[in-house]
Amino acid sequence: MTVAARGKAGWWAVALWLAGLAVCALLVARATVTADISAFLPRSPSAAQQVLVDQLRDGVVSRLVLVGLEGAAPDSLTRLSRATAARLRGDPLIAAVENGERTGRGADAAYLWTNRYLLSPAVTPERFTAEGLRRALEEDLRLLQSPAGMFLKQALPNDPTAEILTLTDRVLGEAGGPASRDGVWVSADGARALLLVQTAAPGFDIDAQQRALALIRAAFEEARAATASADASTNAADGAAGAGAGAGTARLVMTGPGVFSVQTRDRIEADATRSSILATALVAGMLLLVYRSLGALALSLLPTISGALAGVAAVSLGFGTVHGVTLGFGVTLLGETVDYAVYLFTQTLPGQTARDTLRRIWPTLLLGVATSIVGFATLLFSSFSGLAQLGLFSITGLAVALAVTRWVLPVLLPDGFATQRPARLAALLNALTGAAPRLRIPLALATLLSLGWLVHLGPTAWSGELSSLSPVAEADQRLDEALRRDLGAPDVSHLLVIAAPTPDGALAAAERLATPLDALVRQGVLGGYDSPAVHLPSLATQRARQAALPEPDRLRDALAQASQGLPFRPDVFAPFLADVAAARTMPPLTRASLEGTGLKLKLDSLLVRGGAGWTAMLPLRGVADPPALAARLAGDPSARGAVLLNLKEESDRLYRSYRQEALTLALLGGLAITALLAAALRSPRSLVAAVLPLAAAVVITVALLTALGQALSIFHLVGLLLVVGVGSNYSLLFERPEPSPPLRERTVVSVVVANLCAVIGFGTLAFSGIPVLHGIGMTVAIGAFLSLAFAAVLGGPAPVGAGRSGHG
Amino acid sequence: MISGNSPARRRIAAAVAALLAAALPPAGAGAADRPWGLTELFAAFAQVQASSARFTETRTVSLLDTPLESSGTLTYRRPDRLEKTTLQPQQESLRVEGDRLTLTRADGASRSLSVSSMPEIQTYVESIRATLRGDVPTMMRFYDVALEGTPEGWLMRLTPRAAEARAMVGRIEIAGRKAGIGRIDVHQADGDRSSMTILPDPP
Repeated sequence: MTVAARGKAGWWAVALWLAGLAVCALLVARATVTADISAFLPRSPSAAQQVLVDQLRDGVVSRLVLVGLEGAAPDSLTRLSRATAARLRGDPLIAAVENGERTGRGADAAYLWTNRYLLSPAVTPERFTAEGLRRALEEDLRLLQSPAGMFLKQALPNDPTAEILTLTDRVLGEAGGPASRDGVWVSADGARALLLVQTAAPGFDIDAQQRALALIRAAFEEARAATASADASTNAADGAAGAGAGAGTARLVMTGPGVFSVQTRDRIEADATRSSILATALVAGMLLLVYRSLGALALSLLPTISGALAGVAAVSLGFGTVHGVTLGFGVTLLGETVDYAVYLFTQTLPGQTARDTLRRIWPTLLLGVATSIVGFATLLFSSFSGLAQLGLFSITGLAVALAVTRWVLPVLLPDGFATQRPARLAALLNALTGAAPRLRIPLALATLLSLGWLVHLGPTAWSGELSSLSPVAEADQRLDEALRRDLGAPDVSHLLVIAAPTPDGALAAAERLATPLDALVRQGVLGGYDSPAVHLPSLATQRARQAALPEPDRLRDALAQASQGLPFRPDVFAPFLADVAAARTMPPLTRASLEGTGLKLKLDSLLVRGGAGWTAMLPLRGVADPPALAARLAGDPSARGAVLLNLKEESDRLYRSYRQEALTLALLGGLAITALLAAALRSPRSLVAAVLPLAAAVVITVALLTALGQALSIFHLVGLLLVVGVGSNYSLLFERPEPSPPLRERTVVSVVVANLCAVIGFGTLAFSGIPVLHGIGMTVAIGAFLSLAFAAVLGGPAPVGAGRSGHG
Repeated sequence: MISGNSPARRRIAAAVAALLAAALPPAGAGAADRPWGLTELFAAFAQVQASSARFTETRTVSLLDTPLESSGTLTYRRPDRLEKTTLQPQQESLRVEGDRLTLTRADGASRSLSVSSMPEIQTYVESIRATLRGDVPTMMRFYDVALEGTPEGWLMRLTPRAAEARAMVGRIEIAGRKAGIGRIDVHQADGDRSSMTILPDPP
């Protein structure tokens, strides 16, 4: 009766489990996976930091793809650059392509030219009086006489006051862009042709980024094929003059935030898949060796698979998206959840049922899982949504795996299931555990030494840079730096930020900043600056400039007066009169007026919608003394409300604040685990026995990692939390008094097998190139092994092992 | 005329060669063996380390009633530094060094740009600089070159290869004698033209 009833309840559990699996599978199938690096950025930073985070997520900067063409003769590369750019221009996925050609700048030049009287800061009423025009005409004459005259004279009939020169001077700036060859950007050494592509989709839309990158690649391949065949025919015609490698050998390199996101997602997927396969194979192989039964192996993986599925489903439900790193983490869960089945199976002696074993080990198992869950729960409070995802994933996964072990596995196990005593392994382990306590003094010494080392390292053990979290490989970061240097992309480190409720308000605020900034430039405190108002003046400024332009008749008279005695042909400036008349009545410029120009991109990067209003950003160049600059700006009334941002410092400060938070969370997690253990064990002695090995393992693991040259990051901290979660199981099981020597022996074997599973699972992650997976994998693999070893060394009285060691 | 300050010995050798050439019949066997051409002309320019000269320039500009006259000095230093200093009617200098072009006015205001980023300016600059450097490949990259005459009096017609540059400059004619330039005529696409006469520095 009772057996039947229990069986019935058991099958209900199985049915529930299967239904749950189906729901989870459905949720997982619908989940969106992201590899957005901003998941590892904060949710609620300060307003200034929000600007930074927004820019990283979907700002213009995040949409840039830096493209280099290399590996062919310079002439082939420049032709290839033109051909590739031509194929990309006009595609809806691509917002803009710049390679130094005038095509893109044609639209920019047209915008500046058409609107020069609204844009030029030199437009004042005095400039259009007879005296003002006379000065301008004399200057024009000088220009015509100079060597530059040939290139500048075309504009004169329309623009005798040379507003266009004022504008192009400002827009081009001092740097003047990258080097060129035949009008196409090339690196300083000429070995690379350079293009700057801006995608239409924001950087965090990885699918769209991937499509855009594929498009660029395809355009390049097409262009290469076309250019190579053209080269071949030219060479044939020229009698193959042998001008070096033709276009056929050219290669394409790309970097940029979107490229990194796509690469990272691909790499995380590849790494996660590889690690999963490798870890599964290794764990399965080991379990097969221990159980010598395929059925037992398959059953032991059930809790893991269920847990991983439920974890991903929970994250998808809770966060809307699943971060790739969280998926990669599924592997690590394998390391811990497979333990439950291992404990259950290995500790079931012949003649016992799995239910008996469960009854016996359940309290310990529950406590072990509870400690892990408490540890992970602290992650839920992290302001990194990436870490919060890891927390939710792990908690759900562990709880589900435990439940499956408790209620589903016993039902599925065949009657009379038991595992054989793994004789050789048991003997060896008995010998080892017996000998282990002798290492107590060396262990104490090693711990002290490690502590000393860590104190010696102090804060230098930590990586202080946000980039340490970046999942981008070092080689890719170097390529990115090289291309940026080649492109002369200004390394913006200081930004002046000012906010207003409307875009026009932000532009007006940016214009007010021009007064103090210009003064600072003149005094040499500042090299230069850029402002959105340069590309789009505020409405009030545009109106003021229109008002400065005289009526047609007055202008005609002033011009006639000004040209007296100068050799200009009569009526040569008729186009000027017409242009000024048109400018007086033209509708003011808005953001829409820049549509289709490269300047629109620039404006969008300098004038951004943020939070409640709009933010104008003024990148500063050549800041020699930031504190002095900050002091000068703080004392100026026109700079009220402006915030001076040091991007590098700000992002590193951001990182340090996360690290502080992670450290606090990790410590709280450690305390919570200790408190839980204290409450459950109810004995200070047992508590010390359970906690001491963990503490030693954590200290020595950190010392080992730093000695291996790793700079500690948040990911290592998370790894340590895992070490405590996993390791507490070992010391709890070691600490537990066993009724008989065979059971003690089984416990030792199960813990060792479980530990090996964990080490394998996390160890495979240590080979990943992704910092987060590498950091966590390495930390936990080392830490978990040490926890077990130290649990054996420090573990309880060990009467059974000690008694047998003589025979082993 | 921009003339080389090459060693005196070479000048003597050249004089001797000229004397010998004059003594020989006009259609000599030697001339047929090794016809004089761009390679030989540029090889002679390539010997010159540095040079300086005075110039006078006349510009005809359609915007103006009268032509503009100016004068000043020219200097060149191997491999890539070229400076044109206008002294009259007002002081101004144009200096090209490597890829940098710098315009400096009498009041000290200067403007600087990358030559290679503006193909039409680069084309113009290289017509003179590639000649002075004796750099045949660069010249051929920017221009179709037609050379006529003899070492004693030659005329080089340069037509820009790139359409962008041709839209600005239709043709450049450089005339000279041996490794020295005597005149540079620039025919702009819009009909404006400039003619620069180059005289050697008074000794």
